[in-house]
Amino acid sequence: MRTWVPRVALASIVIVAMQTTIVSPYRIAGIVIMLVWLWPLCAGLLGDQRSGVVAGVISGLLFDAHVATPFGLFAVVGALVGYAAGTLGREDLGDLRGSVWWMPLAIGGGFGLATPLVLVIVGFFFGDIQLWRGDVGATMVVNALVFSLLLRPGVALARVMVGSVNGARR
Amino acid sequence: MATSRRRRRLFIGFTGFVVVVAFVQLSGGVFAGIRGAGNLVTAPVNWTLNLAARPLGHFFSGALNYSDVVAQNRQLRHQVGVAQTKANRVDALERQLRQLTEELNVPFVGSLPTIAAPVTELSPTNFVASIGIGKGRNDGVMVGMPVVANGGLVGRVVTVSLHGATVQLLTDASTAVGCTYGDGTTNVIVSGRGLNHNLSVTAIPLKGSLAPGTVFATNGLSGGLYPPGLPVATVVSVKLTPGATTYDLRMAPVADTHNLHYVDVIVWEPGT
Repeated sequence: MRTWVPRVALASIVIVAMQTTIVSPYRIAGIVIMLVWLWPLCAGLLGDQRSGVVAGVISGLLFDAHVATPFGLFAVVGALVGYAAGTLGREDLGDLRGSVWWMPLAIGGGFGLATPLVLVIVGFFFGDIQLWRGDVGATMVVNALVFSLLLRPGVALARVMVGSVNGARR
Repeated sequence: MATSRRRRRLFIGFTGFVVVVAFVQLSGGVFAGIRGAGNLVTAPVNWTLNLAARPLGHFFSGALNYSDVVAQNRQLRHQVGVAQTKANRVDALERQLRQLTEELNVPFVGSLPTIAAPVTELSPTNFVASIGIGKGRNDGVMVGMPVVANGGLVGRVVTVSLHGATVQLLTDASTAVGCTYGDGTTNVIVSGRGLNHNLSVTAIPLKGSLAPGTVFATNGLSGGLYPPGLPVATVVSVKLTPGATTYDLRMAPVADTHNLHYVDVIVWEPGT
């Protein structure tokens, strides 16, 4: 058993609990900051596709238990986010410590903009055609801003929480 | 070579995961079990975080909003007085209504038992308007039961685990409630449009009067999802467009769905 898997699983439980207890009730302009998407993004950048997908699936499944959307939707979206972030991580684009200043802004902003759209599209395949009504535009903008600001500290925190991830070069 | 094999393995693994999730989704039974397990896993951490974060949150919001709280308190005292006066009047009307509905053999919601439940979560995401409640299957809560609070319908139970349940709110985009108003001759569908939006209503022809403050209540038609007489929405404003044949209404839920601390689950199942 890879030693990083239980650490990522444990961190995912804490992230989902933080999302539902602390983050979701306090919104920015009525919009929820989606920590459950920021987490696989950070875990993917820290390691590779495997760490991203594992973080995305576990946090997504746990979050699915708390919402009335089709079960598994957030897990699939989390897996996609983690896989995409892990691809960047493997290409060393995710090493934010030595990157140019705009790299975390671009990566965080890009993922923040894209993920709500991905949720709406994947939701369509799950049979939920109403997700586009959930303030998609505002969610994209607010999450893009917050992700771009929180990405660097998020990756640093993820490094503290899960240590070095197997397969990562850092 | 090794990288492409790894990618293929990941792709196959991911596809397999999607298939399993789709199967679980269709099977329903396993799905409820996994939801319950997921809730159980995060519950202790939720509880701990709540315990730690709540006093801090209260301290800061109390310090920053003290004058607002005093003003709100005065306003609420006034509203309690007004509500008390109304309640005394409503008591008499309710007795009369109960007698009439008994004669018509229609279940009156006032006589239905309820289960009081604390709200444990408020819409964890913008994509779905839902709340989590702290009563579940063990307490008699079942899928489909209507939920009321703050003087009106809040939503209905959509998933239930042993000790908790998820309630889909009235404001959720996939909610639709059969309603009536006034003399009860016009039936309409009131639907949600998302968490931060007003409600919408199907076209109402320009006959009779419809003024701001008019309350729409569940019509309780046979096979409906709700018992009759639950206040659902109130008209906020009426706009009359020249040449139009229907009202242009702005509707809001009767119950304040943003400030929910306790709710009542009505022990009533659709079709009963």
